[in-house]
Amino acid sequence: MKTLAIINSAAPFGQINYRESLDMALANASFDRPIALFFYGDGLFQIVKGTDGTLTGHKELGKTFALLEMMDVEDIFFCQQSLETRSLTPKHLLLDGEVLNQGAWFEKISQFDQVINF
Amino acid sequence: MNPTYVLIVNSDVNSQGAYSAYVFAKELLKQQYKISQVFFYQDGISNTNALVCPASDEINLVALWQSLNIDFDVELICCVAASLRRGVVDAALQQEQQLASFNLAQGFRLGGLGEFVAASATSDKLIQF
Repeated sequence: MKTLAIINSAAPFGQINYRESLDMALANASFDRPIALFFYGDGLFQIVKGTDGTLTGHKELGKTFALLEMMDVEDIFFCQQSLETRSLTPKHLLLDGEVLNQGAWFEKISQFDQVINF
Repeated sequence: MNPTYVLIVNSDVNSQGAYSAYVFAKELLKQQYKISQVFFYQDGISNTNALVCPASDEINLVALWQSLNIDFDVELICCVAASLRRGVVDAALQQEQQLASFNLAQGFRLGGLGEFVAASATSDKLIQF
């Protein structure tokens, strides 16, 4: 099976990228395909704790993100520079993941056979 | 052996991305590469809407995709969840959801994300547009 990296760079709610990216991740995970999630730029806001999507007329996705852990999706990566410029740290985030600096970020993505951007 | 391809089209029918996807797919097929699937997702669903009707001096990308399906027998799969969100359904879904009409263009087929997973996980190349 080819491995897949899913890269999330869009803030939630403005568009539904976050929702359809998560659907894509869960579908792949349900087939036991090796996948990883990468969050950078405003994509990090998708997983900030305490976010209430219902205020913007959207479904609350916190519980859906929790499914990732149940499905053993453990390869989750955050861009260090994106965190810093947004005054975020991993403790602000719903998901456990590894912080990568720019060099390690591209090195990690290059280890995957396929990539999809959202 | 030539690598096999899956294309995922997330771009709206009126965007450069969608047209580039078509041109790329056509060239691959002309050169006898195998495309196991073109998967339409997100705003790419608009490429599958039979009611798309641009002015006569503009390109009709829906028709171009259909010609690709006829000439090369390439699978054009639309994500069913993304399609329902955007109001594109086939006759069966129209009945099931009791909608006024159906509008999935001929040559396209609704399918689940699982079909995309199965195709892309076994393809050498995945190209996103």
